[in-house]
Amino acid sequence: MDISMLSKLFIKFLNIGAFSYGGGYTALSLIEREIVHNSQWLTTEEFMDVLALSQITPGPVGINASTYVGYKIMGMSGAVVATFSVVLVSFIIVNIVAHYFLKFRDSKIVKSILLGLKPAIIGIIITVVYKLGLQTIKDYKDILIILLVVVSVVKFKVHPIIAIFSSALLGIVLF
Amino acid sequence: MKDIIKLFFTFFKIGAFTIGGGYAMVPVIQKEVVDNAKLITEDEFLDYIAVAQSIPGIIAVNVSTFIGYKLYGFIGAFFICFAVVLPSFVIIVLLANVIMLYRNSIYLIKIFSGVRPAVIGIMMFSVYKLFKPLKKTKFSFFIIILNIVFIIGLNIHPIISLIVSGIIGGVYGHIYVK
Repeated sequence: MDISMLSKLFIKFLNIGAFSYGGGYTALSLIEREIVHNSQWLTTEEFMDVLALSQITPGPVGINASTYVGYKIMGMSGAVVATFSVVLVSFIIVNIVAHYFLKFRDSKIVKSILLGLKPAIIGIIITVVYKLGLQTIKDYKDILIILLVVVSVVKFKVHPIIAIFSSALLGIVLF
Repeated sequence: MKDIIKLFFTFFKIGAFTIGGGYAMVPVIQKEVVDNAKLITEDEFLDYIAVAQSIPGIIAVNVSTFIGYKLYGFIGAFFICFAVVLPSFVIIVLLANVIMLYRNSIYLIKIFSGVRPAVIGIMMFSVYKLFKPLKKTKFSFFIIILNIVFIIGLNIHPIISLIVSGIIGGVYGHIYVK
């Protein structure tokens, strides 16, 4: 096992985790910059594999991508180090923030900031839906699946996981 | 301890079966923890999402860690974070090579043609579920529209938009809320 390479991997993914603001896709662009461009540990072609695999496997895209990059570069030990370090910084910060947030949740200043943050989150998710929609929706079949999913989870309280798997089967029939 | 183990399996299941990334996982976590297990309220969940999104890192992991901390302190945070990350790790390490072998198969392509729009539907469901506990004031609608205009219209990074919203909320609350 190459300890110096592992520690480099650790530092890289510590950085990627600490600066990926706003979800998995930010993590992907950071991985591309750090691992492909700056370190040249992976080729652009290999990174395309990372992109594809992390999006078709279940779980958070940022975690899938980090684990796979670590695995590609250094096998099992690389996978462990990359996954651990990409989570580490935010894990520590969340614990600290959660501690103080739960203590001061009813204070005026925290309540006031939340007054802005809560609707902001909804606005942000709407923009993600919009951008993803522009990329994804090509014809009536896509719209049909979206409608089926929304109606089944909202109206008939179908579990979202069931809805996604049913859509996978529907994909085989429709496309 | 029994409760932590139960929650561990809930988050393991969410991590193992939710395709579509963090924003698809949020409504699944909400369904399991708020609707089914009733461990936290809708309003608390919206608070935690807002805070988790303001912290760097992977949103689904941050929310899960936050919920773990709220329910069982540091031990809870550790186990729930572990539970949500573990399935990804196992699947990638064990199946990466097999999946990559079949990545151009016609079935896999068809499956993902179905999954991709489904994920959009699930994210719409997420907007619906997060919107429900929100106080429907003019100020809330103003902030929602402000974020959409910032991010889509002006191409501002979501995190800047989020910070600006927090500051506006802080000032607004300071002046108007008793």
